[in-house]
Amino acid sequence: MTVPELAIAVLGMAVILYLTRIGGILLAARIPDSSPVLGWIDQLPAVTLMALVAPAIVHAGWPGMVAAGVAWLIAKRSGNVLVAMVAAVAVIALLQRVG
Amino acid sequence: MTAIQAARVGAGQETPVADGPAMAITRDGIRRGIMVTLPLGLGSVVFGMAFGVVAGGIPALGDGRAIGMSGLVYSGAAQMASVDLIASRAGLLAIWSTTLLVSLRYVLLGLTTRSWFAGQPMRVRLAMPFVMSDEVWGLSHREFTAARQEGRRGDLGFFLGSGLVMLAGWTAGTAVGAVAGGRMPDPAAFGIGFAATATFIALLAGMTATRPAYLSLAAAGIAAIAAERWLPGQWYILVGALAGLAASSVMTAPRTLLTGGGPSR
Repeated sequence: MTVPELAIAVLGMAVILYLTRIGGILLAARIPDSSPVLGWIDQLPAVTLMALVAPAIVHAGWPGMVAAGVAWLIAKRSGNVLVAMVAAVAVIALLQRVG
Repeated sequence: MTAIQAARVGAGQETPVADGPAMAITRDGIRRGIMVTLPLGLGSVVFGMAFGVVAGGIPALGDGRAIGMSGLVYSGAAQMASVDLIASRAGLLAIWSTTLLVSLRYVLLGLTTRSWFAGQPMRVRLAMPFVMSDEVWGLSHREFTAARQEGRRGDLGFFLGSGLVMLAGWTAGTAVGAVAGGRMPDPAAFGIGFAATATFIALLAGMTATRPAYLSLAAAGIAAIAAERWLPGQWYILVGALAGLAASSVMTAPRTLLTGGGPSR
């Protein structure tokens, strides 16, 4: 790929990313307050996060599952996302070294 | 609707306000977004380094061009996927369709930001989403939900500060990786590759409470794992999310579920 070709490819990617980033946001602002769609949108954060993390946990094998459990429990108990994240990263680093 | 059409529609009229006044955008909010995101920002530096190393091995992306790509595109998933295509001289259509597929989740995430950008001037709505990422969205969702539960109106500066940290970390990491090349240790060895996943799990733990909610999460997770295994690209995020929604609407009326995260309004 030549440099001008690459420039076109990358600029196109940048435009696509921008449009997807802004698309949902602009769309959301136009949903009327009475729309039944809002009931589903309320649930999107949780199910989308789950869809993001589940394959990543499986790919990380059993250390990933243990670390995921640690993150979940600490976050449930303390509500502290940072502590949960650091603990999970420490656990998975340790287990991967052992396993 | 494209951003340009939306800008035209919005230019001639008052922006609709969903509920009450728009969120403030203050210096303190930006600062808080930066501070809260710094740990994950370190993760994005490391991911950026990994991308910089990979991209550095491709002549077309040499001479600092990988750094420009990170600053403009700012998407680890899309850039990693495109690098192989660029190296194998795939056509623009292949590169762009892969990018679109990887990025469709942002439309989904954007739909949940209804109250964040309501009442903001069009320039804010057009400029600020540039820094949106999974992490920025996740941390902002938690921040603004907590604010609402305490009866405060959130500060949209948080989103901006958070996004600037991730963008800066990703781009700086790319620069380091491109310069250092293969002489760097593998970040996976330090568990850092799991940082974003762990953060999302912790955010999720703060959202769910009811039994139907757990069941729809299970449906989303199982569907995502299956789709990731058997479907190409990143369809698994959309498939998983839709399976979760479908499961919850089968079990009960949608509005009564998963309300722990708070309504998006």
